[in-house]
Parts: sequence; C-alpha cells; structure tokens
Amino acid sequence: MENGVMLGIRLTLLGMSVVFASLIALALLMGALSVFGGPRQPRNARTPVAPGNVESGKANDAKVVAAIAAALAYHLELSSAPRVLSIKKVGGTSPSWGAAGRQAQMIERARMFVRRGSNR
Amino acid sequence: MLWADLYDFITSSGFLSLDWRGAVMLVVGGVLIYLAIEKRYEPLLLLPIGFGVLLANIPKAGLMEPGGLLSFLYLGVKLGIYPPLIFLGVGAMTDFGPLIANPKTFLLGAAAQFGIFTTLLGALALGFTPQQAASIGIIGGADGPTAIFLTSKLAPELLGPIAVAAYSYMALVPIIQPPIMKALTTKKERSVVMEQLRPVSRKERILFPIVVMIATGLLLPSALALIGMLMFGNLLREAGVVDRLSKTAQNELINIVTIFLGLTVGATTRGEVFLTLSTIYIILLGLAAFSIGTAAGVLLGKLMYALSGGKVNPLIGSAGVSAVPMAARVSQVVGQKENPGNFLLMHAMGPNVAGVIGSAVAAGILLAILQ
Repeated sequence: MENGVMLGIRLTLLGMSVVFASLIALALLMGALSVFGGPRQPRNARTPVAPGNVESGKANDAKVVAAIAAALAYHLELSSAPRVLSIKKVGGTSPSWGAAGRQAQMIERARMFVRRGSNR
Repeated sequence: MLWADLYDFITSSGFLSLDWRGAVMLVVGGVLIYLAIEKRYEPLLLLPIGFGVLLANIPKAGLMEPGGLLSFLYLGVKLGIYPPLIFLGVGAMTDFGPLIANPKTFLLGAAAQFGIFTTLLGALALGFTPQQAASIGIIGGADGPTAIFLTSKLAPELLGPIAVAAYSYMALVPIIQPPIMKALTTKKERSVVMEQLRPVSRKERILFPIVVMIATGLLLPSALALIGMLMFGNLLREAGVVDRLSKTAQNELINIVTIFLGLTVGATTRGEVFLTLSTIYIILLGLAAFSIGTAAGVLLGKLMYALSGGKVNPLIGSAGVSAVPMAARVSQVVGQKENPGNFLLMHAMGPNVAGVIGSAVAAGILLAILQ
C-alpha cells in the first residue's frame, strides 16, 4: 500500500510537472508564432467609433443605416426606429467562437431591452 | 419429439439464463437510453452506449464472445484505433483561435489536470493497481476518447465502468461545476469583464497544429496518436484547401466511429463485470477527479486574476477540464448570472481546448510510465 502511494506521489509530481512544462512551452511557442505570423495591424489598433458616426464612407451608408435601424425596430418590436449611434462591420478574421459569442450577447441584450421597454 | 424440440428451444432462449445481474444491467442500459433521449445528456454517446449495454446483457447471444459481431467492432477499441479517429474529427471541428489569441490560457488547461493525479493517488490508496488507478484518474480529464484510449491500454478490464463514468460526468458538467465555481470565487471576481481577444491570422491558424504536433510529439511520443490526430484534423479545417476531407472528418467519419465506439464500450458492461464494488469506487473517484480538476482550474484562474490586476475572470479556469464546449458554456452561464452584459464564452474556449491537449499529454505521461 505504502509503495503504491509513494508511486502515486511520484507520478503526481512528475505528471503535473510535465503537463505544466509542456503547456507552458506551447504557450511560449504560440507567443513566438504571433510575432512571425500574427496579424499585421497593431494588436490594440481598433477603429475608433464616434457616437453618431458610421464607419466607412460608401455612398449608400445612409440607406444601410436606415435598413439596419428598420430591421432593429422590427426585431425589437419598437414603435419607431432607434437612433443609431454607430455601425461597425465585424471583421472576417474574427474567430467563429467570437462571432457566436457576439451573436448570443446581442440576442440576450435584445431580450433585456424588450423586457425593460423602449423608453430610453 | 415435438415436446423435446420445444424443450430444447425454451432452454436455449435467453429467458432462463437471465440472472439478476443481467436484469439490472438491462435496466441500467434503459436508464442511459432514457437520459440520452429525454434529458439530452450526451445523446450521441449515451444512446449507443446504452444500447450496447442492452446487447451485451442478452444471455446466450454472445455478441462480445470471440467471433461475435461486437467482438470484431471492439478491436477498434482494443487496438486503440477509435479514440484517435474521434480526435481527428474533434480537431476538424475545433476553433483554436481563442487559445492562439491568448496563449496564457494554456496554463488553465494544465491546472485542471490536477484532478487526474490526485484521484490516481486516491485510487491507489483504495487498493487499485497503478494501471487501474491511472485509468480511473483520467476520468478527471473529462475527455471520453482519452479515457477510453488510456484504459484500453492500461486496464481494459475496467473499460466499461470508466467509459460510463467519464461520459456521465461530462454530461453532468452543468450540474457539477457551478457550485464549485461559486464556492471558490467572489461576486467581484465573477463579474470581471475581459478584454476582447485579438484577431488571429490564417498563418497562425495553419502553423498552430503543425507546431503543437511536432513539439508534443517530440516531448511525449506516447501522446502522439491522440495529439497527432487532433492536430491533423485541425489542419484539415484551417488549411482551407481540403474542404471535403475536413467535412468528412467532422461528420461521416466521426459519426461512424462514434457508433462503433459507443456500442462496443457499452457492450463491455456485462453484469458480472460491471456490478461490483470497484464500479462504485470508480463512480465516486471519477466525481472526485472531476471536481478537483474544476477547483484547480478556478484556483489558478484566481491567481491569474490577482496577478493581472483583475483582468482575468477566474470562472474561465473551470473550462480547463476538456469537456468541449460544455465546460466553456458553463463559465459563460455562471459569469452572465453575475453580470448579464458579460461574455466569457470565447475567453473560456481557450482553456477548454487547452484542456483537450492537457489531458492527452497527461495520458501520454501515464502511458509512458505505466505501460
């Protein structure tokens, strides 16, 4: 029994050390990978979005804003279209988990918005 | 003559040979099928496993005896073929982006493997052999294919109870984890909103599986069957030039293997083997492994919270047990209860997929030492 427990302690110490060492090594490799293969833009470079402004300067922005506002009003069952503060295109490089998360968050916020009413 | 034939027919039927153990196992199989269909607990696996339990406990059918249908399908488990093929499909389905964007979460995937080794100690103290104890401990990795892979190599006699325990606890993640997560964290910690992850380039996504496969393969060749297939599946996904292969790995291949794996693992649970005191120990130790793994992940998350000046939400630590993506969803749900505007899912996916790698590494270590 004692031998078994001693073996277990040895396995635990060795096992956890190797697991941590392996995953730390992988984390460092991933860090190095981002230097060579990471996105070209600076990490924290996020396009500033000023209230009331709409990203990109295409000619049909006003139509796009109107369409999105109308869709929101319909989806949230509002009597009038909401005031759109900003519209930002979600980049194609976004991870699918990120996209799924944003979608879930939008749905949850929309539900809360409807529950609270539209008197803001 | 007619009576003699009738007598032979009746005595050759299974009814007269069905003992109480077989009857209990038929009920167990029925319960697993019920949980899969009605409760939707891991139906893709519990349904074939449950039906496999029924098939194996019909007396005189001999499906698992040498020459029986399931005995041939079981070769895929015995020879360690199915689990790596499942990993191939899992790799093709997994987005490692959150882990690449935030490599620090690798540490959380490592911490959650603590449950494996502490439970191994407990199993040794209860009198299991080191090989059996390692197979029981791996339940704490919350990774069904890894548990089956290791057990089939080290302690095939325990395959049935360990597979059933592993998949049952994976299905019960949303019930087991939240109380532990809440007990170990404060409201303030649970409310932390984490910064948005950086975008990950295509080059990084393609290099990731190659680099991980080479690094872990060189360090731990015994884990290469699992990690290699996981990373190959991911490369098929991220390469973007072999869509057909990627879709096959994600759908047809993993589905076929899941059917064979589930049926044959279920068929290992013959009454006389399954209904023993060892099974009860395995179920209890498995729960301990799972809980300790969850707690270790959360505690390391708390440490990262402290070291980062409150930028890391410790709830993502529990996702380090590799039940993908349920454990990450649990982090999201528990976090959102404290702060409805909080969104932790993609942050929790980092430790979650790191946990898959971590549990495969842990299995590789145990295999290298104990086989």
